[in-house]
Amino acid sequence: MKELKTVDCRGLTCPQPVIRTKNALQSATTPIRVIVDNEASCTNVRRFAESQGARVQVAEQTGEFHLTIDPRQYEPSAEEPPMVCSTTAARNLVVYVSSEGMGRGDDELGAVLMEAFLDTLSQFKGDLSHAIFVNAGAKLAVEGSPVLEQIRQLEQLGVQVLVCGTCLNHFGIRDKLAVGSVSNMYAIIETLSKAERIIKP
Amino acid sequence: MLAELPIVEHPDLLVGRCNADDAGVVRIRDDLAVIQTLDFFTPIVDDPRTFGRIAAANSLSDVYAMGGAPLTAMNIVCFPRKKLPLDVLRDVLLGGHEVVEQAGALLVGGHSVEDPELKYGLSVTGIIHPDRVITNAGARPGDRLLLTKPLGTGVLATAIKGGMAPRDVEAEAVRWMITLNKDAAEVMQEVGVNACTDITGFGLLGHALEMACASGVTLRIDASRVPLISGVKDLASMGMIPAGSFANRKFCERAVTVEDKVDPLLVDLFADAQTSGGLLISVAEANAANLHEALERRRVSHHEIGRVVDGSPGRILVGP
Repeated sequence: MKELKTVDCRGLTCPQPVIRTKNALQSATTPIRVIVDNEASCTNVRRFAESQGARVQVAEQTGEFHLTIDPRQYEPSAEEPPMVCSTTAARNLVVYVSSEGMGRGDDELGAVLMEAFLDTLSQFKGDLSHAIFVNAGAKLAVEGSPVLEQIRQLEQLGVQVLVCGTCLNHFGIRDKLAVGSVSNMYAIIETLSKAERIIKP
Repeated sequence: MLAELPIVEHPDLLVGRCNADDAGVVRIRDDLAVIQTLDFFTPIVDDPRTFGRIAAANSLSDVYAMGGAPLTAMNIVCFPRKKLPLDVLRDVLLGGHEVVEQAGALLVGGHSVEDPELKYGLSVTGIIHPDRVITNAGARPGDRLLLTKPLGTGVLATAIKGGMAPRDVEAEAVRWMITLNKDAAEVMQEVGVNACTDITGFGLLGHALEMACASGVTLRIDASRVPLISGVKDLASMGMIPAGSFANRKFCERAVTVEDKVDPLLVDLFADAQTSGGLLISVAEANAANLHEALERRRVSHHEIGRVVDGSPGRILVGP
């Protein structure tokens, strides 16, 4: 029998065993084993796995608990943190883009990350409802943008793309808009307020 | 462990260690007693000022739980000067100062030591009339049990550590933790109650058990009536219960009977270690309506969560 992938959480206190289990389950397609050395961690890890729809078996061996977790029904939630149990998993995700790059520090890196971010987003198509582009983020939706294809792809998947009109005017690029529709603050706030979750790159 | 230390007895020592009460009370005049307490701990939230506020509200709470009024407070600080900028210390102290001021007490000094980990709290001196001290030893069968704050701060602190606490849940918990038990204490004195304790590190079950032991009664808690901070039950079901809360439940197990219909997750939450929790008040049935009304008038949140029943001393029943 093939050895199970094992997450050794002995010596760790809550919430570490749960966090490690969560990370391991995210990439797991076959059962994993989690080892903890106290009852509190055992109960917590079991509850976490079950809350995510996985099946759990516990074997106690001389003060240690070996949990076998079958992730086959496990679906990682689309965003974290915050995280809630699977019964309330997000179905109305809104992506809020307020800059040209992703994060601060290096603009070149920021541009690469933004491209990867928008690329990867299409994998969450079922959960995405809107993508909003404001401030310098609006520049991503005009001709010559390096991520035009990615945004178009989102639109084709049924994601509504809203671009801030005031921002387009400010940069003098309103006539170059290549994807999505021009939007206003009222619509943007309304969309954000109805979102179950908001993701900001 | 404390049992191994010598017992201190004196005619003017009204409340000492023997009943695991919240603070010490010493009579210094026929009409005046001094309440002394101290508490300090490591941060449970990231924001220094918020941490200062929470720690101060938590330290002051023991005075309120005895029905007293805080008079002076002193800072207790452990600070890692090499690891954290002094701004952090300033913000912690500002937060503490704010809450002490809100309590109407005077912050008169303090002491700090260098330590690898930030810790903060207060030593608090309060006053009370010796005949009006409210202990955890006065609960009588027939009493109603009221709780003034929802439970769940221990679970939330664990979820914050794990990066799994939704912001709104954290914000709600912070609001509760920085709320003083001052109004509740004043209402208790106005209306008259039989017993009180504040809910802190031993959780609702632990502190209720102390009350049951000190009063020689059985407490019955109706699980569905115990208020919880919203969102905390979800976090608990995702494995965010701190080890300390499990230890509380284990410790109480021998004295607690849980009926079959009660969700085990709720029992874990009842054992959850609280920071700056609410007051658990035992009030005579005939006086319960007055207490409800007075708390309502002062806008103090409160829930009736059970009653004191005939039964063996020092036991808890948890029903649905």
